[in-house]
Amino acid sequence: MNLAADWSFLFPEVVVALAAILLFLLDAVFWPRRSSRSIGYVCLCASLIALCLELNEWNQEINIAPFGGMYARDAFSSFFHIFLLGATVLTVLLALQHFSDGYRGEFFPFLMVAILGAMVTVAATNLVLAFVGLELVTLTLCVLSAYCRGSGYVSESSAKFFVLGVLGSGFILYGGGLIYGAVGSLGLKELSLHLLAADGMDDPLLLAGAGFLLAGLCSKAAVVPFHAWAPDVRQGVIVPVACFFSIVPGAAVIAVLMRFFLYGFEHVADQWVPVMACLAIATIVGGYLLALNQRNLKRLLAYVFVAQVGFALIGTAAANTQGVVGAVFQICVSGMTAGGCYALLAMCSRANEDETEIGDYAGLAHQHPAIALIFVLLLLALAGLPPAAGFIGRFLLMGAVAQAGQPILVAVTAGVVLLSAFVACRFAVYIYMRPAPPNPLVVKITPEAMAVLLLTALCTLALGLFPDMFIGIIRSSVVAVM
Amino acid sequence: MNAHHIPTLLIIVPLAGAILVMALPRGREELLRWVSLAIGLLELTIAAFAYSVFDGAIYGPQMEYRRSWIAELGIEYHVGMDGVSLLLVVTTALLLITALLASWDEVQYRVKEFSATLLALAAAAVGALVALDMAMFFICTEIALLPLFLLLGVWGGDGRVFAAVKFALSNLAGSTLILAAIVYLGVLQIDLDGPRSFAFAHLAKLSLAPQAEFWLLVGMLIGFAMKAALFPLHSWLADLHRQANTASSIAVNGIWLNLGLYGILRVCLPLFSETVQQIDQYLVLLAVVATVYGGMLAWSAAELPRLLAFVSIGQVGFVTLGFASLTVSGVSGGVVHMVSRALVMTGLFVIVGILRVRGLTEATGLSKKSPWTCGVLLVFTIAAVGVPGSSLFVGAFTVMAGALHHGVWYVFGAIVGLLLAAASLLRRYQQLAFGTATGDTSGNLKSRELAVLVSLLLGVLWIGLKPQTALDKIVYSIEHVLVDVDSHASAKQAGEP
Repeated sequence: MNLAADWSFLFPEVVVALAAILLFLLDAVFWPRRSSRSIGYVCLCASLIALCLELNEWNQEINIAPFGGMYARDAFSSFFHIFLLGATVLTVLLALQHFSDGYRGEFFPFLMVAILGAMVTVAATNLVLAFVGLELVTLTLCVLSAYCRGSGYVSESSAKFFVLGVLGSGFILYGGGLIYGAVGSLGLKELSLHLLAADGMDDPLLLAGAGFLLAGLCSKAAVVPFHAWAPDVRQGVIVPVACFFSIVPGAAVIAVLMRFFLYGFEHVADQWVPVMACLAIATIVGGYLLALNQRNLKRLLAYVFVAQVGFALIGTAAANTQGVVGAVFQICVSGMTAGGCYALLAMCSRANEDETEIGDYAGLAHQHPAIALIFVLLLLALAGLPPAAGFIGRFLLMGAVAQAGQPILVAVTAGVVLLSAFVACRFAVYIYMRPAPPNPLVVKITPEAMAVLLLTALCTLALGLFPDMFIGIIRSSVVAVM
Repeated sequence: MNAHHIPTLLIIVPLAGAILVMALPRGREELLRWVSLAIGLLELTIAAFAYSVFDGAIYGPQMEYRRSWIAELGIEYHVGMDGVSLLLVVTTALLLITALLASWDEVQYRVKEFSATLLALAAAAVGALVALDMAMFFICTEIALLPLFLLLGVWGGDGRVFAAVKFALSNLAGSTLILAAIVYLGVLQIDLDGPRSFAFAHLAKLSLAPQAEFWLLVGMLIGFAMKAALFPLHSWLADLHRQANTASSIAVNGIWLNLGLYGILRVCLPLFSETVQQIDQYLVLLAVVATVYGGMLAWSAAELPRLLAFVSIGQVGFVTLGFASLTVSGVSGGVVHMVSRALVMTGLFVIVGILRVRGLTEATGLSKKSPWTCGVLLVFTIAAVGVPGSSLFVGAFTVMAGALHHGVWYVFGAIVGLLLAAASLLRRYQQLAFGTATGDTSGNLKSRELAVLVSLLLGVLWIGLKPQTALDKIVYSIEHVLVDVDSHASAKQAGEP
């Protein structure tokens, strides 16, 4: 195998890695006294370059497995890479808004390392590589969550995330060990071939391994009942990091789940599908139930985005093409709404943003009708109502689970709109129907946050009204895992 | 202009109007009101033009326009009008203008948002009425929920937020069932050969398993019953009318309830004709109970808005009786009743608004100080009672004629319900109009208010005195809706010895 040829397929990843090194050097050696914003702009350029390279790769429809089949360079990984790099662009823009004055610039290189880890994870076809990628994400996020020592919650956040992240890693390692014991390899292909040869025979060792793997991955993505860290951690971290938390780990984990469970464990699907369906139901219903009574905005958003991961799990549990398409669509919608919601939080928050409460938004529609309208659009997307994109995602998912013959999942996907609409109604009531509090929020409109807001709102609406092309793109991208 | 673009135009005009109004400068309230009124008039003109070019002698929808929209999901942009949607679109346009005019004095803050919301609602409602694709119909009704929620929650009485949230969540609960049924309709088509589509005409031809058909029908029926406030799913309506202002009351009572009823007519009857025939006895019973129950609630209601809400609940039951009769006469009576009840109830809500603005809702002895208001109230009350000459009489008569074959007792029950509602309306009128005068201010009508009420009254009288013109437009469409019902019925008769 020609190693140089293998690397040549990894241009975007290499660009991200080099950018991380360059940014570390810039911050520590070359521009030590510059403001963090310049480093942020370099970071933005790097992510945009990587995004363009990745689009190019997606366009070439490459489908190869470099590094001895440990890594998959296919449409599926390209699609997820584009999504992750898009999320990075949103996060960097939010960070630029946040670091308006003299912070140190290590934030940006750490962000690049985290996204590199996520990119490796979604493309890994070997458990070891997936684990390494996930650890890279987890450990850098530990640093990022401890990054700004402005608020009291930050040490709690970081410590909690570290401990529970290690617990999740332990699960994954143990599950990987058991799988290795049963199969003799950690590769995806070998796993699939082994199960095919075993002809659906239940191997308790392998099933236990799959169970631990699932638990570990779920704990990384904050799937209920492994979600307890999510609100505490996201309350303590700064807004861009909270945005990153809401998008990236969930997407990376779902991609791994799709590869390893839909393809690897395909032949024992009847064993894991009910488990995943239960996890999905628990996540959606639990996430929204916990969000219902939440007043603190960061915690509320944390729970809402926990529930969004559950929708993607529903698509995975449907185990058919439409389910995967719906799940990926839902991940994209959730990512866009996360960007928009956190941009709003960045623009309209109290001086101490950890303390921003839902009641602070009272009367927002009086002062800023346009922002209020965009907010409502994002809420519609989260609630899964037309004309926003969330409705299309829900429609796809319901069709998928109905095809798969799982009426309970159809009922949950349909019925949960009541919970999500209640959350959206609470917001709408404050924004439109309550008078402004005596000390209303100061809305800081900055170009970066506004760009994120407009971009995400526009995409949400466009994908809700004309989703055809995008669904087609997803459909052609997910062929690799089906 | 090609006639098949008319439905699209009917959607685009209020939508563009809403955007235009949002773009106008804040603070120029008079300008905003006039611009939105002009858009409403334009909409009504287009609707009237559609009415004039519509040929009542053609079977099925006209002005049809079909384009691929979300091909991945099988959803099409497919619009067109048959007689029923035509009548309802004209009514909706008229009610839009009425709502705008009736809130001229009442809504004094955030006029811009108010006008835009109302126009957006009209666009979504018309979109639902002209849709010939099940999924598009659903999407438009869902979109209409948001402006209605805002109308109810932002402008209205003290308890408006609760009423708005209750309205939104109740109706979303109904939508959930409808959406699940739509998804299953899409999935069940995968097993059948042929193209996947949600077009009403296509869905009506599907041959589904009886059990699947039964559950789909139940889901759809409950969903639409929730939107139409059909007993026993009516409880959101009473709260709402007590808190809502005139425009929101009109929007909910005149437009939204009719959308729910229209859903029953457009979806449940033709798509599940076989199953509907099996359960129509129960439907008739439910409708009669709803009519009587609405009447009883109306009799016990003290406040005028609540009373009107309960009268509406009874009327919705009565319209359902017409639909459940599954005869051309009954269903067309139901449609006429649906349109005329929207006009009459709108008139009554406008008068309630007039009284509310002047602080006279609890007054007595109005006939001395405000004879004109009182007179108009009397006219609309009598129209609501359903005397001959009022369009409600035509509707009621035709519905009963159609429902007679189900049993005299059902018709008798429905008459009792109507009489109860009529009696409670008259009793409330008596309290308001006569007795010692308590209201301090004179509550006489302004010319604008009079114009609104007279135009509504003209509509009521026109259908009431010349019912044939309206019936001519809808009869063939209703035969088209019931075509499968008839064929099943004749097949059944042929099968029996």
